[in-house]
Amino acid sequence: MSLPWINIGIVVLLGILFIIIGQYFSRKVSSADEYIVGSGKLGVAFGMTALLAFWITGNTMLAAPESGFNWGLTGALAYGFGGGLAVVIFGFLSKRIHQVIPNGKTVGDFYGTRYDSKNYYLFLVLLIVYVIGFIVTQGIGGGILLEQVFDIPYYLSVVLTFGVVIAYSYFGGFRSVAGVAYFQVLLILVVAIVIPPLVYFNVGFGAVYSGMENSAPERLNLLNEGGLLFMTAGAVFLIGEVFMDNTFWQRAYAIRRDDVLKTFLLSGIGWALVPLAVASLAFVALAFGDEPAHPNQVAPLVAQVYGGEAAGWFFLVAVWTALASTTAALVNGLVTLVMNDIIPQLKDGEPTDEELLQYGKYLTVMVGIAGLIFSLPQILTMLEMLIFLGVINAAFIFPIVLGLWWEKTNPTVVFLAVILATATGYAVYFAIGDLQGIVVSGWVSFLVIVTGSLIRPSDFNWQQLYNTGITYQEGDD
Amino acid sequence: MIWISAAVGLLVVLLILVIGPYLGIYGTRDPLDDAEKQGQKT
Repeated sequence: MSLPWINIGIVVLLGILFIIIGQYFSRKVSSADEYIVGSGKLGVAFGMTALLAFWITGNTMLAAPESGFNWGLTGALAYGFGGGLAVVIFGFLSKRIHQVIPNGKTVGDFYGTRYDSKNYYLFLVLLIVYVIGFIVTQGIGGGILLEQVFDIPYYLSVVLTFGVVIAYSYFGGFRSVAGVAYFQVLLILVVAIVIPPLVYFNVGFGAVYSGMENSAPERLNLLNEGGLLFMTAGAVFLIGEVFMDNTFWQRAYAIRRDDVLKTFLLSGIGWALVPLAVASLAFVALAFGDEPAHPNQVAPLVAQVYGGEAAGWFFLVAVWTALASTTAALVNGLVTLVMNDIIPQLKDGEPTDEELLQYGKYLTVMVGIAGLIFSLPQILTMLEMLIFLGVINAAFIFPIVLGLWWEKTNPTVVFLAVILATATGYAVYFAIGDLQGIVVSGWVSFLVIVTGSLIRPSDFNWQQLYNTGITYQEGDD
Repeated sequence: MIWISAAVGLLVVLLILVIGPYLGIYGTRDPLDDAEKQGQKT
């Protein structure tokens, strides 16, 4: 089989561009803190791009059209609604985070200080499982897409993606990831704005509507029950992802306190438009009876067939860019968590700043290679993996929310609630349905924590959170 | 339909908990200031 050199060339050229930009932004990184959260002074523009580049994932570009293909209009709206709402709600949470734990750096700082060590280790273990699972979804999704739609062999595309990501995150950590993100978002947005209208102008809006009316009228029904369940339960797991994911906490700290709520609100609204735009491509396939080999591939297939070869290439660029930016942010998010929360405990004596920075670089390579290796066997599809991990995400929503606002939240009750919610969530996941498992996990977690904390209230001293990380921030405001 | 209602209920509870403090629905005391005021005392 001859290799598709033009497609491989596009990916390689883009990769080199990202590495050069990442190198440029890494010049100012001289401390471990900058590797973790940058300067902590991102404004609305860079803050939004750092958020959008992470949150416009490979799933947004591929699984949003898949949900449009499966559930029609409701499916397309559901993806945009859930992910957008999650970012908006985290904006309110971020404001509170800046107030109660202003010198923290990671979600681990909050969880470890607010609760006790058993909660902290349970959280870290499940968080690491979740993040590696998420990294693998990007690797698998990218590999399958590049192989089946653009003819780049699976192993080669996975190696290319992780190679580029490791290279550009290695030197500058968060600074490089956020800097490259600015350009990545521009690329993705241009494609999301240009390709769907181009396809619709080629085939005609009326033709798509009448085609859907004839071949898939149920997909035009906004009250489609499967779609509504995905919209609501999907929102729960997407909110859980955002709340427990360190990449969002990093961005909350990296953005100026006065701008944080505004940045998250605008990002949530802006983000929702991207899955809506790409999901609309699925309607073209429904209207004209195109059946992709896998529903995941419906958007690139439509871009290629109805937009022309150039549109197919541009879509490749956007999808691969989304995959790379999300993978980089996840790798960096996990690395910083280990740098901040685990290394200081494993090492005898406080590590020096230089040592910590060096550990960060080694860890970037190690996490990247782990992601690459786990992506090779193609265990689950992207959406299956995300929904599977959603049971864990849902169990942690209320420990985080109630821990930030309610001093009576009892740590032992939280520990039991998370275990109970995860166990019952997975029982329902396997016995009744995947999305139902997520809903049960969320409700069990909420009810157990509130009831238990009312019966045995704790009296948390907020001062402990306020003082967290304060010794590391000398010289800062 | 029962699962959709359960998921909607969960989202409503979450929205009340997260946005409620900013709307002052918990009464006259502003919980947002508590931690900050305590922090500034030292």
